Amino acid sequence: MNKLQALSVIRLVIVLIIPLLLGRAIDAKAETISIGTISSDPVGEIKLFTPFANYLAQELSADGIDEVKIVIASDVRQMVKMLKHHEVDLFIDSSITASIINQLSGSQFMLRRWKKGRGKYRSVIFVTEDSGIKRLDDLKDKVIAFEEPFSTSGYVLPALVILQSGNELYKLQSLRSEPEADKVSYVMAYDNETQMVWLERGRVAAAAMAESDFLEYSNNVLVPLKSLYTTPYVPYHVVVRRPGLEERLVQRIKDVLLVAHEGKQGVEVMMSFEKTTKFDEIPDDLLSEIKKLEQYLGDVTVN
Amino acid sequence: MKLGLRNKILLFTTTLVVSIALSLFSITYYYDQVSTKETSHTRLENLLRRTMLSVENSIFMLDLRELRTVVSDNLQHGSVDIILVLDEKGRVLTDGSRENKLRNKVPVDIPVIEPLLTKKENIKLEGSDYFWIAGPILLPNKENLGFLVFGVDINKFNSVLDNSLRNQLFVLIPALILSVFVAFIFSSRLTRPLKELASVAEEIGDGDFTKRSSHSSKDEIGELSKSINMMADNLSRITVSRDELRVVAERESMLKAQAETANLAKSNFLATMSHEIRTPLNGVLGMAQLLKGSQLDKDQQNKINTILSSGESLLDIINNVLDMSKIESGNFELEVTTFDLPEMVSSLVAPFEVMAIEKGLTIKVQMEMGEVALLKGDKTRLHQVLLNLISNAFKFTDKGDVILTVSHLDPQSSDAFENAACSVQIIVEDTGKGITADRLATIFDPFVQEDTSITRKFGGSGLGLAIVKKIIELMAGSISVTSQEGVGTQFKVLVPFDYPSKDEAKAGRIKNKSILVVHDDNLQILLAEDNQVNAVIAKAFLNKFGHEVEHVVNGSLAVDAVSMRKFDLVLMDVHMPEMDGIEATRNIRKLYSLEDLPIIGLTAEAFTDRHLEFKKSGMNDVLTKPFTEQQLASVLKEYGQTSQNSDLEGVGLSFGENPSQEAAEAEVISGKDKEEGDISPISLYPIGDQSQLDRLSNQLDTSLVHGLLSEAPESILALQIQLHKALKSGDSGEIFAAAHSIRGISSSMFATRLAIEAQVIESKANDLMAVRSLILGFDQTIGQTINWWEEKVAS
Repeated sequence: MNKLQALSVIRLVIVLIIPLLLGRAIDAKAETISIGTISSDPVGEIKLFTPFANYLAQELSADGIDEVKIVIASDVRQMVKMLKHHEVDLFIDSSITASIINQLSGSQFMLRRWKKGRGKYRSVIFVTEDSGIKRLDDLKDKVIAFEEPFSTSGYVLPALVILQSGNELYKLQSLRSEPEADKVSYVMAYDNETQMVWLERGRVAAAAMAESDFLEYSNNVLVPLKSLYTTPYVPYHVVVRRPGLEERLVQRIKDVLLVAHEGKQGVEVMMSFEKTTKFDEIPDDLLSEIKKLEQYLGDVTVN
Repeated sequence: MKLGLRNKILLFTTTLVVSIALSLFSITYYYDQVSTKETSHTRLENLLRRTMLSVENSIFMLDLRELRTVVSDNLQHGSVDIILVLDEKGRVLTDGSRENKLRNKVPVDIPVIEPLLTKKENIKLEGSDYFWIAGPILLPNKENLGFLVFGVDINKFNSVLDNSLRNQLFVLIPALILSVFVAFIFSSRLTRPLKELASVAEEIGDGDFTKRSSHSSKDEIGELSKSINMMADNLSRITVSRDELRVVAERESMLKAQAETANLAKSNFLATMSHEIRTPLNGVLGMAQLLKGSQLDKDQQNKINTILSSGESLLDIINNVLDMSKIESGNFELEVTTFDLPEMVSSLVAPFEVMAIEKGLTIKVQMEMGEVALLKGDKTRLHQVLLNLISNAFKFTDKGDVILTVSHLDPQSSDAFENAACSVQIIVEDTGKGITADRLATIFDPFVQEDTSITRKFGGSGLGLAIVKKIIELMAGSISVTSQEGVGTQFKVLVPFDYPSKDEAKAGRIKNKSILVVHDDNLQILLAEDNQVNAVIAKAFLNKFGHEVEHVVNGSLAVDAVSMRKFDLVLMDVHMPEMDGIEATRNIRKLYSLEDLPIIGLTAEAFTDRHLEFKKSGMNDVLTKPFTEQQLASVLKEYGQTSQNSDLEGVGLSFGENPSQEAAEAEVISGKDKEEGDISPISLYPIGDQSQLDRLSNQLDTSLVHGLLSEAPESILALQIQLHKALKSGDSGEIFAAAHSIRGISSSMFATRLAIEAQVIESKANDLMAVRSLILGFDQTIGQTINWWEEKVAS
C-alpha cells in the first residue's frame, strides 16, 4: 500500500466513523452547533478542540446551545461539502485555506484567531546570494522547493505571489525531474529543513517558507542566502461561519469569543487550544490582502 | 566478646553465604562487564550498519525529513543517545531534532570526528562521557555520501551492569536473609535442647538430683540427655549431701588438727621424757660403772653387770625413741665428719664375731672399697644403721651366715648416685628365718616388727628399721629388703658420700683415733652441775685423770668461782637452778675469752641446733650426757691447755658404752693384717696388730712402748691364773672381771685375737660350760700373744 492509498483509507474512515462517533453531526439540530477543521490527525484534533468546544457550549447554554460538536474533515473538498450541508457551523483554519473554502462553500470570515500568540504572518521566497536570481521572473526554468501542499506559508502564499507576478507554476513529481521550460517548476520538500539543504547544496534554485522559519534557519546556513520576495501579511488563523448560520447565534458566538481571553476560564481553555491568546475582528488591511489573492486561489492546487 | 553456639552458627553461616555470594557476584559481575561491553559494541555496530542502510537513500536525496525521522526513531529507541548524520565533509545534516543546533557545523568536539574524517572507516572510541562509534556512508562505487555517528552514554553500559548488579542483589539479599533465617532456626533447634540440658545439668549440679532431662531425640543431643540422666541417677544414689560432707570435712579437719597437736605433744613428751630419763639414767649407769670398778664380791659384780646391761638396753631404747621423735618433728640433723669407712666397719663387726661364736654362726665381711677409705658423712648415724641391720641379722638367724658386703659402686653403675662423689652399697644378708611377704611391705613402718611375738622373744622397740630408713633417706640414700621365708633376708643400702679434702682427711685421721687416756698434769677444772650423781661421776673421772675439781651447783656460783680464781677449763651443765649454764657462760665470757678459758657444756639434749645455741652463748664445745670417759678425755685433750699425754693414739678404756662404742674404741681388728673383705672365725684374726704398734712406736718413745709391752705378759699371766681359778670355782663374776681385764690390756697392747677371745669369755662369764670350751684356745692365744710381744720387744 503506497502513501496515497493509505491517505485515502484514512479519509474514508474519518468520513464514515467520526460522524457515528459524534452522533448527530450530520443531522444537526438547533440546540447543537459544530466546529470543524481539516486535518489528517482527526483524533489529535478532537482532543485539541474538545475543551474549547465545551467552553463554547457552556457559554452559549443560555442561548439554547447545549452542545458544541467537533467535526474533522480530511480535505478541503469534504469540508466544503459539510459546510454546504450545514454539518459544520464554524470552521477554524489558516486564512488562505479559509479563503479557498469560502470561495467554494459560500462561508464567510468571522473572527481572527491569535494562534500561538500570532495574529498575522507572511512568507519569504529566498535564494542563494550567488545564484544571480534577482526577481521572481528569474525563477523561470528553475525549480523552487515548497514545503507541502497543506502549508499556507510554505506553499499557498508564495505560490499565489508567483502567480500574481505573472509566472506560471509547474509541479514536478520529484526533485530529479527536469524543470519545465518558461515555467517556474516546483517540488514539494515536505520539510523546511530539506528545503534549506536542497537550496544550500544547489538541488533547487529557491525555496519558500514562513518568514519566521526562514529567519531561524538563516542563523546557521551553509552558504549565504538572500530574500527574493516577501509576501504581504495575511491573518494567521481565522474563524469562518457556514452560509446560512443564524445571525443572532453568530453574534452570540462572537460575543463569547471576543471576551474569552478576559476571563480566567477562557484564558485557560484557549491556552490549551494551541496557545490561542485571543479572538478579534480581522483587520481590514489584512482582509484586503487576502481579497487581492482570491483571484489566484483557483490556480493553486490544494488537497 | 564471648559468642554463644547459636551466634557462632549464625555468624559462620552468614559469613559462608556472604562469601559464596560475593564470589559468585564478583565472577558474574566481571563476566557481565566484559560480555555486556562486547555485546553492546556488537549491537551498536549492527545498529550503525542498519541505520546506514536506512539513511543512505535519504542522504543521497538529502531528504532531511526522512533522515530526521530515522534518526529520531533511533534516538527514541533509547539505545543510542547521540546520532549525527554528517555530509561528506563532516557537516551535520541532522541530529534528529527540529532545532538541529549543530546544523551545517563540523562537530570537532566529538573525539571520533577527526579520525573518522581522516580515515573514512568505521571507528570505535571510548570518550570520557560517551562511547563513540561511527562510519562512512558509502555507495558501492565508494562515493562517500556522508557519515553516521553514534554516541552512547558510558553510564548506559554501567546501567546495564547496575541492572545486573541489582538483579543479583535482588536474588542475593533474599537468599542471604533466607539462609540467616534458616541458620537461626537451625541453631535455635540445636541450642534450645542444649540450653535445656545445661539447665538440667546446672540444677543437678546445685543438688537437685531428682531433675531429669526429657529430651529423647535419637541423635547426639539425645545421647547427651541420656548421659546426664544417668549421671543424675548415679548422683542421687550418693546420700551424703554437700552439707554433710562439709560437716565430715570439718570434723576430719578438726580431728587432723587434734591428731597433729597430739602428735606434737607426743613428740614433745617423748623428747622431754627421753631427756628426763636420760639424765637419771646417766646417773645410774655412771654410778654402776664406778661401782663396778670398786671392790665387789662376785654376786655384787653379777648384779652390777646386770644393772649395766639393763641400763644400756634402756638407754638404747630411749635413744631410739628420741631419734624417732626428732625425725618426726623434723629436728633430726646429720653431722658431716671425715671417717674411715673400712675402719668403722671393722670396729663395728668385731663384737659380732664374739656373738657369732656364741650362736654358732659365721660372720663374713666383704670389703670391696678398693683404695677408698676416707669419706665425708655422718659416721655415727651410718654406724647406727649398720649396727641395727647386723643386730637384726644376728637376732633372727640361728644357723648359717651373716654376711656384710661393703662396696664402692662404679659411677656408671645403674645404682650409683648421679651427683655423688662416691656411691656406697652395703648389703647385710643372713640365712635366718626370713620375713613373710605381707610383713615385708610394712617392715620399715614405725612400731612394726615381723611378728608381735618378736618383741616378747627378742625385745626391741620396733623402731629400729623405721629409724634406719629415715636416717638413710636423710642421707639421700635408699634401703630395700628382699626375703624368702626359711632361706634368709637381704637388706641393701645405697648411700652417697663426698670425699674429704686433704686437710679434712688429715684432721679426720687424727680425730678418728681413740685416745689413750693417761694421767696427765693436773688441770684446774670448775664443774658446774646441780645433779649430785652426775657431779660425783664427773669428779671421779676427772680425779681419775688426775685433775683438780671445784664443784658448784649453779651458774651464779660458777661465775663467782671464775671471778675468784683462774681455772684451766669449765664443765658447765646447761640446766641449773638460779642461773643456767647459758647465762653463766655469757657472764664468764665477759671475763675470759674462748681461748683463755674453755667452757664445755654438759647437756642431755641431743639436738644439734640446741648445741649451736649453746655455742653461741660462748661455750667452746658441748658434751651430750651420758658421756663416756673417753669422750670426756677427748674434750679435755682438745681444750685442756696443760694436757700433755692426751694426744696418744691407741686403744682406750671404755666406760658405760654400748657394745658398738666399745668396739669403736677397741679397734681390735686391723684390715691390713688380714685378707681384705674376709673376716670370719676368730682364729683367723691376727695375734697382734703390727700397724697400730708401729704407729704408736712412731708417736712415742720406743723404749716407753717396749716398757709397756714388757710389762704386759706379766699382767696377762696373772689374770690368766685368776681366770682359771674363777672357772674352777665357778665364779662368773671373777671370770668376767679377769676376762675384762685381759681384754683391756690386750686391746691396749694391740693383741687383737686375745682381746676378742677375752671379750667372748667376758660375755659368757655366766655360762661356765661355754667358758670351759673356750678356755683351752684362750690359753693358747695368750701364749701366742706373749710370744708376739716378746718378739716385738726383742726386735
